[in-house]
Parts: sequence; C-alpha cells; structure tokens
Amino acid sequence: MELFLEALVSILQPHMLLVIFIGVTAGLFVGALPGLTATMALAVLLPFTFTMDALQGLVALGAVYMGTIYGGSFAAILVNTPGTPSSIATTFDGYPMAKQGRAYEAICAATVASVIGGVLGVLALLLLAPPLARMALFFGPAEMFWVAILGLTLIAALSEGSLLKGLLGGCIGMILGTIGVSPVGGESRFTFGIPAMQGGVELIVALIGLFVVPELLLMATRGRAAIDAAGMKTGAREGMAIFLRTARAVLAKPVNLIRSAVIGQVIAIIPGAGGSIASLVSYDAARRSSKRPETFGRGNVDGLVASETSNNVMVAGSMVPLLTLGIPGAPPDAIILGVMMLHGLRPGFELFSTSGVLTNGFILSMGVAALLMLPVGLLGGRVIYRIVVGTPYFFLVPSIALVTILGTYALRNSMVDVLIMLGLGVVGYLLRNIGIGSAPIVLGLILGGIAEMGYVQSVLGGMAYSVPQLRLVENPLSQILVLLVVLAVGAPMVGAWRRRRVGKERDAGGET
Amino acid sequence: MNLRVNSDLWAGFLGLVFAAGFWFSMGRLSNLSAVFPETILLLTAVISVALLVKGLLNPDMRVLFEEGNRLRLVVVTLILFAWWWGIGFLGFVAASLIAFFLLVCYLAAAQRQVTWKLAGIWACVVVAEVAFFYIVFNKLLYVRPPRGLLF
Amino acid sequence: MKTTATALAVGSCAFALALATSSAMAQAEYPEEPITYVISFNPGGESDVTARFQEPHLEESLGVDVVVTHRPGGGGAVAWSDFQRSAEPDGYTLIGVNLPHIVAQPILRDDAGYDTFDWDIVTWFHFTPSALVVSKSSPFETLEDLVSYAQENPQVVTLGGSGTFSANHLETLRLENEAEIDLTYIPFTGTGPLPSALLGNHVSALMSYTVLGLQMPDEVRVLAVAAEERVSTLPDVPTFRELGYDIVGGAYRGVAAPKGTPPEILETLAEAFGETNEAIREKQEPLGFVMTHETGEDAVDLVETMRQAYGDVIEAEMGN
Repeated sequence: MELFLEALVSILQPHMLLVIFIGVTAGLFVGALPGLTATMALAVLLPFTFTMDALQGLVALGAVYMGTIYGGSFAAILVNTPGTPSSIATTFDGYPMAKQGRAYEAICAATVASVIGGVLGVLALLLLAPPLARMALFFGPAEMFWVAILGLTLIAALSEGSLLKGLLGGCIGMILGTIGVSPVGGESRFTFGIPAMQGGVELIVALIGLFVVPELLLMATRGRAAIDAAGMKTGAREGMAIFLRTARAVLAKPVNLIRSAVIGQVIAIIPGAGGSIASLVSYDAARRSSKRPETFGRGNVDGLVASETSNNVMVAGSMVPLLTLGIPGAPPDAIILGVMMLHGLRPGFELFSTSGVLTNGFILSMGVAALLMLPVGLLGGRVIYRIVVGTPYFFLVPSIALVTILGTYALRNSMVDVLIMLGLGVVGYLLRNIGIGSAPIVLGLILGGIAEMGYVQSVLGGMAYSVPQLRLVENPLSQILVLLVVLAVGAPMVGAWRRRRVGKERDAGGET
Repeated sequence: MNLRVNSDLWAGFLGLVFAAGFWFSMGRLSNLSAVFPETILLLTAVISVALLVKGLLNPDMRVLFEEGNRLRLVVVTLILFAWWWGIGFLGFVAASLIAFFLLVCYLAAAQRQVTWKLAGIWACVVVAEVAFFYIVFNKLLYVRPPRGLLF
Repeated sequence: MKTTATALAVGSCAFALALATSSAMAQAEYPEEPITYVISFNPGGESDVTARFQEPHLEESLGVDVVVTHRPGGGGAVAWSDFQRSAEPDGYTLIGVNLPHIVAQPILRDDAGYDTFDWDIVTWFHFTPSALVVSKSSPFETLEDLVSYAQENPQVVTLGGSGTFSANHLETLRLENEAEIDLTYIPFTGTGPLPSALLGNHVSALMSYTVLGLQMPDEVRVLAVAAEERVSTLPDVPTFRELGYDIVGGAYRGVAAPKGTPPEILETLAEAFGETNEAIREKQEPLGFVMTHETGEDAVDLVETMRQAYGDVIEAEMGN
C-alpha cells in the first residue's frame, strides 16, 4: 500500500501529468492516421526516452500506446479504416453510424468505451497480475491452435450473405499469410522470386489495402464523400448534449462493457494474439448475445462499444505477461520491453516488489492516461471530425492516399509494401463486388499464422506418440477449447434447426 | 453497359485460379513448411468447387460496379499505381505533388467546373500538404521517403 | 616546345597532387554526413536494443548523427538482400548482420536474395552463447540426467529454441550427435515465446541463449553453456566441454558495410564500434552478451568457419 501511494505521488507530479497529456494527445492523432500504428509511434518515441529517467520513459510510452489505440477508432468511424489493427471491429458499426449522420455519436461512444476499457485494464493489471500471468502459461502450441480455430469460426459472423464466400475469403487470407518465411522450417514460400517477399504480407499493410483503398475507390466513383456534411454542424452545446446522451446509453449496458472487458483481458494474456482478435471476438460476443443481432453491422452502437472497450483493456492487459514473464503480447509491447532492458529492468514477479514504485507508477500512469482520453478525445475528436467532414471529397481522397502510402512505407521502409497495399486494395474491391468481403480475408491473415504455428509445433511435440496429432487434444485446456469450437459452430445450426421445427410444430398444431 | 454476372461462378473460378497459382509455385519445401499451405490450398479448391456447383444450381446474380462512374474507378486506380511507380522513379516529393494534384483536379471535375484560378489555389494547398507530411515524416519520424531523379 | 611539355608535366603533377590531397582530405573528413544504421529486425528486439545502446557512443566517436532505421522481414533477409543490391559503398549506410543467419538462409532458401560473403564485415561485436535451460521444477538437475533420460526415451524430450537452423537448432543437433540421443527440437519464432513455453511445461527444456538464464534466475536452471569457458555472469554453470560434449556455439551480432567500401573508412568504423563496445560493456554483460571485437580478416574467417560447420549439418539434415 505504501509502495502504491508513493507511486501515485510520483506520477501526479505536474511534469509527469504533462508527459501523459502530450503522450495521449500525440497518440490520438497518430492513431487516427491510417497506416500509423502504435508500434510505429513507440519506435519513434524510443530515442527520446533515453533522455528521460526510467519512470518518465515508460510513462510516456504507456500514454502514447493508450492514445494510439483509442485514436484508431476515429479513422475506423470516419473513413472505414482501422487506424490501428486493434480497431478493426470498430469499423463494422462505427462507419455505418457515420454514414447515417451519427459520426459524432459514434466518436462519443468510442471515447466512453475506451476510457472504461483502459481503466478496467489497469485495475486488472494492478490487482490480478500474478494469477493472470499463471493463466497465460496454460497456452502452449496446441492451445494456440484451437484458439486460432475458434477465432476462425468468426468467419460465419463476418461473411455478409454467403457463408461459402466467407470461407473462401478466409482461405485466401490464410494463404496470403503463408507468404514469406515459414514459422517452423525457416524456408521461404510463395515469394515468386522476389527477395523482398520473404517479409510476407504484414497485417497492417493488408488492412490498409483491403479497407482504405476500396473506400477511396468508392468515393471516387460516386463523386462524393461517404459521410454527408450537410446538417451535421454541431455546436459545442449540441455536442455536449450528444455526448451526455451517448454516455448514458453506453453506461446503461454494463453487461456489454464487462463482457467485452473480460474478453479483452483474457485475449491480452494469450501470447501472440493481439488487439485485433480482442476487438473481433468481443464484437462477435456482443452480436450473439444481442436480442437484435441483425442490426449489427448496420450502425448498432453496442458493437462499436464492445470493440473499443476490449481493445483498450488490451493496452494495460497485455502488460501482464510482459511485466511478469517478459513476454511481449503484441508488437508495441516489444518496444516497452526494450526500454525496460535499456534501463536495466528485468521482467518478473519480483518486479512489483523490487522496483515497486516504478512498476506501480507505470501502471497507474496508464490509468491516468485512460482518464485523460475523455477530455483530450472529446476535444481532439471534434477537431478530427471537423477536418474529415469539412474537407471536400476531391481533397479527402488524395490526402488519405498520401497518408496511407507514407504510413505503409514507413512501417518497414519498403516500397514493395506500398505496392502490396495498392494491389490488395484493388483486388479487395473486385472481390467485394462478387460478394467476398474484406473482413474474412483479414481474419484468415491474422489467424492462419497462429494456427499453422500451433499445429506444426504440436505435431513436432508429439513425435514420440504413434499418432503425433494426439498432442493437439492432450491437455484439459485444449479439450475445453475444442468444446467451445463445437459450440461456436453447432449453436447457430441447432438454433436454426429448432426455429424450423418450432415453425413446423406450429403449422402442425394448427391442424389438430 | 450492364455487368450482371453469376457471382458464385466467378468466385469459384477465381478461387480455383488462385489455389492453382499458389499450388504450382510452392516449389521444394520440407514437410514442416508445406503441410499447412497444402491443406489450406486443398480446402480453397474444395470451397471453390462448391461455389461452382452452387453457381450452376442456385446462382447469386449481381451487378458489378453498380454505383457511380466506372471510368473514374479505372482512372483513379491507374493514378494510384502511377503514383507508386513515380515514387521509385522521380522520388517521393515530385511524384506525390503530381499525383495529388492530378487526383484533385480530376475528382473535382466530377462535382464542379474547374477553372484556372481554382486549380491555382488547389496547387498551393497541394504543395503545402505534401510538404507538411514530408517534413513530419522526414524530420520528426525519421522516415526517409525514397528519392529518385528529382527529389 | 620544351617549356610547354614541362608546363604540362608540372601542371598535371600539380593536378594529380591536388586530386590526391583532395581525396586524402575527403577520407580524412569521413564521416561528414549522418550515417544510416539499418536494423533488419523489429524495433524492441535484441538487435534494436543493442543498436540503441551503441547509437550515442557511435555519434560521440564519429562526430556525426547515426540514424537507426528498421527494415524487418524474412528473419533479416529482406534488409540484407536490399542492402547488397542497393547500398552505396561510401560508409554512410551500415547494416546489422547476424551469424548464423547469414550463413544458413542462403543455403536453405533458393531466393534469399543475398550472399553470405558479399559485404565488408566491419566487426562482430557481440557473442551470445547458447545455453541449455530447464525450469526450476524440472526433474533434470544436471545435463547427465537429461541425457540418460533421453537415452531410454527417444524423442520424448522436447527442446524449444529460437528458429530453424539457428544457433539453437544447431547446438541441439550437435548434442544429439555427441551424446547419441534422439531429441525433438521445436522451433519458435524468436526468443519471445520461449519463457512461457518452458514455464508452462509445453517443452521439457530450452536450447536458448544465456540471456534467458539471466533474465529469469528465479524460475529457471541453466544446465550448461556452449561457450569456450564459463560465462562471467553465470559462474556456477559448467560449459558443455567440461561435461564432455564438444559443443561451442551461439549467435554473433555484427555490422557490415557494402562490398568495396574503402579500407580507411572500414577502419574508422571498426575503431568507433570498438570504443563503443567498451563504453557499453558494463550495461551489456549483465544481459548475457559476451563482448567481442572481430575485425578485418578475423571477421571473414569467422564467417568461413561457421559456413563450413553449418553447411555440413544443414545438408545432412535436409537429406534426411
């Protein structure tokens, strides 16, 4: 407790608060630009942390991390582009809301959800880190394989219309994911003779290509912006009214918030999963438990809240395996680990006691950052919103193109990535026209690699068995996950069958 | 021109082409690296065949590129790729200035008449915007966009 | 006529002299522009962290900015192939290189896009020995326990490590040969996932680097290190050689300039990296790195030795 208070005092200093404020604000704008990810923001910040002491450096990184993940929702809502991979599911309902003229409402909902998610993640990290870290250890190769398969069942939810086409999209995504060096074996695959292709298709490159480029092309062909500026001039007072109304509506559904937070936290501790998966799974869970699932994808605020809550829980949540076991759960975490190494901090359970003030200070600062997102987000949100809505479409399209080209290039200093981005974008646009959506492709890309890795490593681990594949279902957690897969696939089928039977009985009942 | 097509047949056909293209460029791989892509490619083929069957029995007819102006779609796509090519050839700044300005004028023409005066104003905005992002990336983020013949 | 010839001769001499001095001056002035230092792995990784350690000291000793940029992908191959294709040999573009990666990848892949020897190695500045690590709760107290168990139970003992045909993999294969046992090596992507694989009992042991043993002293036990002599930060851990297995190996980290870089520039750089090594020694050694400074011919010899050792093993394994 003493450590805790000391930590609290150390981060409530004016200069610390200033660092957090600047970090959140900068993160917000970086996240809002499609193509600039949290990893990129932290990598840029890294040299500056040299001049700071350990606590200040970590606090700055934490604040920027928190801000970027939240900022990603702006691009998701306003231009149908996940600003960072974590806000992928935010696009599903956020963008339709914006098209209905409810962009500001969507931004407010995302803000409230992000703040709540951020704070809940910090609480979990403060109070539950050791048990959560032990839970993380249960996820070995076999479990990861089943997690990936479970994630792939989301294809059913994400395919608009035809399930077969959704599955085809998922397979295409998984194959795109195999381009480059194989995770087990180290050989290069499908590089078509181009050495740069050994780097494969980076997730964010595919995301930008498959989401932004089709949106640009659509705006161009229509000859107008997707979001209509007319009648959306909200003054400060109307803005506040919208915010209060939305905040009340979001808080009125605590189950959605808590469910999404728990999902976000559980996924945060699974090594190798990421914010994108947290966002997708929470979205699906919200949709399944909704009384009106058909409204999802058409501007249902609950879907957006689910996605934004869980991805901001992830920020502090992924610090659990990082601080206790030294496992970076997501790419940005690797940079935080690097900074810890630079300052001679060794991850481990003892970090909370040996460097208690520092560790607790870092964690608390993320809580402060989450709270600061409320004022910063509402003000910054208005600015970004005005810029996007106020820009004529013929400037908006090339501006977004410019930022995405630069952002894609900056990711790995690679022009090949820019070409992949544009190519996937055009192909994605064509596929959309024949009913194959971008979401299943991206899902396949995210999960294919995890599934492959889990499968091959498990089979290797089972070399001593007569049937090496038995290793996949050996552990209790694997078996639970298999059961969940069966439920996820089976439940909708049973539901459909039951509805049909009830319908028949009713018909039959009429006759007797 | 009405591009009404059987989308199931097309999806199945493209799926098969995609699977075949990857299958035959797999090359020499050890079993560890080959097992996953082989499985998924077979799955892709099976799903594609199922789509072909569905396309014959119960087709889903769609109109391609129903919305808006198809010519603009093609032109904008070409400008985007030319932009990429130009960055390697002319350098980031020069290529971006040209491509950005072309896009602005071309897209604006869909909504209004483009006068010389307007184009002049836009050119200034374009220069300012490209310069802004170039400086932010180059000086602040240490990302050096490629240079080419010009800059 | 004669005067013209003399004048010409004098003139050309003067011109040549001027050229020579100006080029000498140009070399004396190196470096005068910022130097780009390409890291072929993700930000936050060990290569990146090391480069960040080096950066301020390099800047101090060279007197110009050193800009660390990242070009990750393909286990380093994307950056390496791009570097060999396009970097100018003027000393202003350097790249981090790793052994055994630059030896193994071109053997394994048809299209690695680069050649093991097609650059000038400035120096190998780091060595990270491989180490055999088990968790504290493991039944294996010594290397002998593990070997004798594996003798009776072929393939049952699983060893996790970082990458295929990496240093870790090679040391595992050598241990199999030396002890005449049959182990199962499970490659992971990088060292990141290894701690949880071990602590979660998803593998029986790790063939990882000494870094891991130092990172988690309370959770793991290091059975042996693959170094020539004991590592100063792990004084109680025997080497494989002491235990009767001739296994020395690990990963080297170094820096290379494009082929054809003037020797004076290479020397200046090697000196700067040498000074930097001394400056960061105190911070680096506790992390498990062994500081080295292999330059010039020695650096090339090291690659040659690795190439021979790896070529045989990889070809034998691929043949299986």
